[in-house]
Amino acid sequence: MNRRRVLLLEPNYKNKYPPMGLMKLAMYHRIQGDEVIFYKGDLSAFILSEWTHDALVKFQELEEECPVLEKYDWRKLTPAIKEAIHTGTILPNSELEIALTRLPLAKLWLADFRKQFRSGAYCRNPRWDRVCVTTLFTFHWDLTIETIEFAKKVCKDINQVLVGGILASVVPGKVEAKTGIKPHVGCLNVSRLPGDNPLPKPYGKTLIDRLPLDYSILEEIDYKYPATDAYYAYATRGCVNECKFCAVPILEGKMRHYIPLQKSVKETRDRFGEQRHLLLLDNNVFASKKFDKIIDEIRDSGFAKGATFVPPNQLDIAVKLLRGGWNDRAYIRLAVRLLNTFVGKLEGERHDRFYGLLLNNGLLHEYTATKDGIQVVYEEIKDDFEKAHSKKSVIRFVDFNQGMDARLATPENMAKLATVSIRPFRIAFDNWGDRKHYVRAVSLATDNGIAQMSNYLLYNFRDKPVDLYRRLLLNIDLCKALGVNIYSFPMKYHPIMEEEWFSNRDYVGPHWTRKAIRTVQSVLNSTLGKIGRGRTFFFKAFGRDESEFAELIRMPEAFIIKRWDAELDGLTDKWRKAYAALKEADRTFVDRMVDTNAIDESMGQGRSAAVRKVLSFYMIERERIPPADETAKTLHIQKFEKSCPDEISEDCRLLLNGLS
Amino acid sequence: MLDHEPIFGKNVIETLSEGMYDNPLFLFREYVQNAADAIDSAVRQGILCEGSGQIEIVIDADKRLISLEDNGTGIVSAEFKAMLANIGNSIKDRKTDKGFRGIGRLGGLGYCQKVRFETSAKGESVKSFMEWDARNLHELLADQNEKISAGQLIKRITGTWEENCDKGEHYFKVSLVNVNASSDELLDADEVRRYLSMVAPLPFDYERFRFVSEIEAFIKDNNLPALHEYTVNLNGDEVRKGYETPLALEKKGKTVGILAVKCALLKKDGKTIGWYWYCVSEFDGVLPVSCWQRGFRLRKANIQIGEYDCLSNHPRHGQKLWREDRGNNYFLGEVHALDENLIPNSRRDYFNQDAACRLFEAALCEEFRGLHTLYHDASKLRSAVTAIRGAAIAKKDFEKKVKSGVFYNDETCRDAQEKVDSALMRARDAQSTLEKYRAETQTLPGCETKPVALLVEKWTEQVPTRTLQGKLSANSVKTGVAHIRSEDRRVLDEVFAVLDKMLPPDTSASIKEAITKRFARV
Repeated sequence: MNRRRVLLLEPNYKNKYPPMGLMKLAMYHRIQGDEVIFYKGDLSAFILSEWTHDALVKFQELEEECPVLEKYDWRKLTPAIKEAIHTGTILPNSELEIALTRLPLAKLWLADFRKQFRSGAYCRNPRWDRVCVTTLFTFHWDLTIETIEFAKKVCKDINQVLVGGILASVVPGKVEAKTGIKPHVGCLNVSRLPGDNPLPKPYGKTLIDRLPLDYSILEEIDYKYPATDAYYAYATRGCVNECKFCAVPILEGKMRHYIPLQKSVKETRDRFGEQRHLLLLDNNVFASKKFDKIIDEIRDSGFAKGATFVPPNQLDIAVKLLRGGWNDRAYIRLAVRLLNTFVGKLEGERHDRFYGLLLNNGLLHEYTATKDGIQVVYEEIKDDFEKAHSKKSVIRFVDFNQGMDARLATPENMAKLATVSIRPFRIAFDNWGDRKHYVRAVSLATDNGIAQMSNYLLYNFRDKPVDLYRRLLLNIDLCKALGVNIYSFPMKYHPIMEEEWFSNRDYVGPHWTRKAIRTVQSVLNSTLGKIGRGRTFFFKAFGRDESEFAELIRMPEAFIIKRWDAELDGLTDKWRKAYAALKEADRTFVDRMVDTNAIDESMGQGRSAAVRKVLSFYMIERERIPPADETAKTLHIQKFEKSCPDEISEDCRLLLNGLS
Repeated sequence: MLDHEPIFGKNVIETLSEGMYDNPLFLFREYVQNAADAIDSAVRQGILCEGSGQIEIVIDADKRLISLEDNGTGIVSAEFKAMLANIGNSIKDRKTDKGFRGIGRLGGLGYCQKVRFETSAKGESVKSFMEWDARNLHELLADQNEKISAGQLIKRITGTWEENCDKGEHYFKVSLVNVNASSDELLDADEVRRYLSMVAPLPFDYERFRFVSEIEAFIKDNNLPALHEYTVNLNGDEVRKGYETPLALEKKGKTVGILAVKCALLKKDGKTIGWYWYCVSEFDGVLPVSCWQRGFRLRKANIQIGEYDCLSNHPRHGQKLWREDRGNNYFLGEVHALDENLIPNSRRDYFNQDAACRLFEAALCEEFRGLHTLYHDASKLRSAVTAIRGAAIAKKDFEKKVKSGVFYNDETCRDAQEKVDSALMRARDAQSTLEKYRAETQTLPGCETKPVALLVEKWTEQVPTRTLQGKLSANSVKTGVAHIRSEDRRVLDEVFAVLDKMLPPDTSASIKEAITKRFARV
């Protein structure tokens, strides 16, 4: 089969983890001998850089036909050529203008490339033999569809547009109805894609899902994933539970209890260099029958308790991979970045010498860099680079990122888990009814010396708002009672498969209201989604007791966000009194209005003055609340902090007593 | 409380007279603003009847003299000295008067050698003069040894006197004597006229701008306060607002067609806090810099605040007003602020950035979102029309070429045919886009008056009504190919290969056609 051109696309949303599916597909196609390009970013910028590339190739070709001309390095004009294609601007007396005077035909071509760029010719003459698009959250529906439509346009054969990933697996019918592409549902549990040759040995019949990840593609894009410098892996797939709120059964199906881990870590290490952390995306590793074996493999992969890590020399790795020709596009970028950062930190004579070296070999920019140039410079610079490269060892962590099932924790498996450098230990606490299991798991972890914990709390499902308060409070109390750190991450339930809800974020659970969700989110917005161990912070944010929490749920949002200002201004009290003064029937009405979280003037029409008064508080914009005097505010906060409960709650105490 | 009387040193005067504004032409704005307040006051007191206020500006470039005179209340001789020599002590009301800080009149000191004030109030047979010696002022400011307070400084450089005059006279006149050589722009009457035509509270030019009545009707229908307008003459000719139809662009004799003017209210929390009008043009790209009237102009009491870009995206705004930074440059129009809590800042380049200002921005932002959609729709419509027209022409050209048999071989003919086919296909898409817009603008109630409906109507007039046919016939390929001797073909094949490599496809194709025509045997 001919070498195909394969484009891997991730829609340009912000996400935390690299697209593992595409990393496997990159590996798969590379083994097949195809040319693979990964892109995540603005699609129009992608097309622009493609045309710029074409222009460079063309200009070189023209020069070859004009033997009198000396060779000119057009690549250094890449930004100017890109600008000319993008906006049509060629600055007078710029280097580009001078170069074009020398080769007038190039000017004609440049105009032509600009025309093609503007007229969308890129999509009329597809260049890609296959385009794979990954997908993620359903609420990024529009962006995802836009990316699939782009893929359809740039792929030579629409049957070679492959769509997969989370969104695609959850609502495949909707994707097909909208785009005409039937997505791949679930994991890539096939050893080859339709129409492809089998992979050569040693891969043979290996499922694509089990292929090693191609980490190189992450260097090809400008986007930086927040979770980086880690091995990404699964030690199991699927889950034994079938929770109604969870998509794992659809995405991954039945539990597979074991996937070799040590081998894949080793392969990654050998090819792409040592990574710092180990990020495992297992859904329920406690349920695995091979749990002990998995933990042993983690330990033997270099992640025993207290394990440390010395960052490898990235430049050595980049050059090694460049020599092997693994992914030149990626490693030219990486090498140029590393070299420039390194030289940028030097001073004096050494700086000048190495800067000159980069300059003469075209390594100041990725668009002028060549493999040869990098290798020449590498030989000169490697000793200095190695000397400067940090060899300080740092601790490394294992993170079962999707959380573990508290109900399945036992003294045995917890002791086993504690043999590796787990941090944080993530436990799900989705239901107040599970509190006994939960407290037991936390306490077992503590007994085994695991002090950093993190906790997912599902809300807006079948729970009541007060259940969330109780769970958060329990965490705060456990932190105090056991001397550990537990970060709470409330997670809002959303039915991603239902017609009405799949492409938005508007679902409201049976016991929740839009306003209640808004209250929780207002608080979370200010803490980046997590609640730490600080007691006073918690009491400030969610109230000192359940009745204060209940009040917060209906409090005007501006008063929650500008809490102290509103209180000191007396606004909060005025609202409280006005609300208390409502008659029974009026209160029912007001509550109903407040719960919609969409109050406007029309709602009060024809209602009593008391009702209108209360509603008026909800229309106060937060900018209108005057800032309070700083000294008064400090005093007020101190007073508040003194009034916070110091002792752990009765619930927590009983639960802990129940353990012993 | 501090038990010390703070001293305002002389440098305060320097800041107030020179350091405040970027553009010297602001002087005219400050003086016109003061004149307008005096006229309003005269009308309130019954000295003038509504509409008879006049502001006369004379610019004499030869004598290097500028004067502004209004027939407002003037100042009674007893109050004259205090009124003019006190600084920042204005008795005007922030909320109703146009100027209120009491610092604007100092501006002239930076640009000429003498600033002279002259005034008389009705009923007094005396007129008062005050002259500030700017040259002396600058010498004192520059002298390191002169440590004097601002008040002492003013005393030193100021002279006053009185003369007799007619009892009925009432006016106020400011003269800038001997304008500095470095401030020639103040003496350029054309430049000043243009500046005033966008900034001052002037009536529209009824003859040149044909949508005035629509704006006036909108004001009346919505019970909005009438626009503050004053007669301002510059060297004897009345100055009017700079809007005109069609809009002439400075360069290339080009004009921008204006299809209509739209007006709307700015509301927040149900309260009207302003209103605006704008021109619906074809929105063919942003208005060029040479269109000096461009942008939404922010006005309070009909006096412009800031410059043309005051309502373009700017970090001083609490939020991005436009989705795209270039948004404001597509438009031409005015935003009139009505909320009395919106107070112009001391530089008068924007409002004080307080809660009222943020609400005003929020309201604007909401309106501008709709305008963003409007210019994007306009662009989609235009490309659709271009595609349809282009396809019609390409089809005609192709058919002509087939008839005269000028294609070099089957392949060139087929290529050309495919191009036309794909142009036709795009044209059909474009037609359905147009149709969609037309359907939308015709079916929804009230939509026919929407600006986008005007554009749809305008554009649909310009495209062939007949639906463009589908593909071209495949038979045309054979008939279109030229008869060329085979030895010629052998050479031409080589030549054409070079052309294809060296030239962009379109250029190469037309050269090849020209050559083919030469070698074709009829």
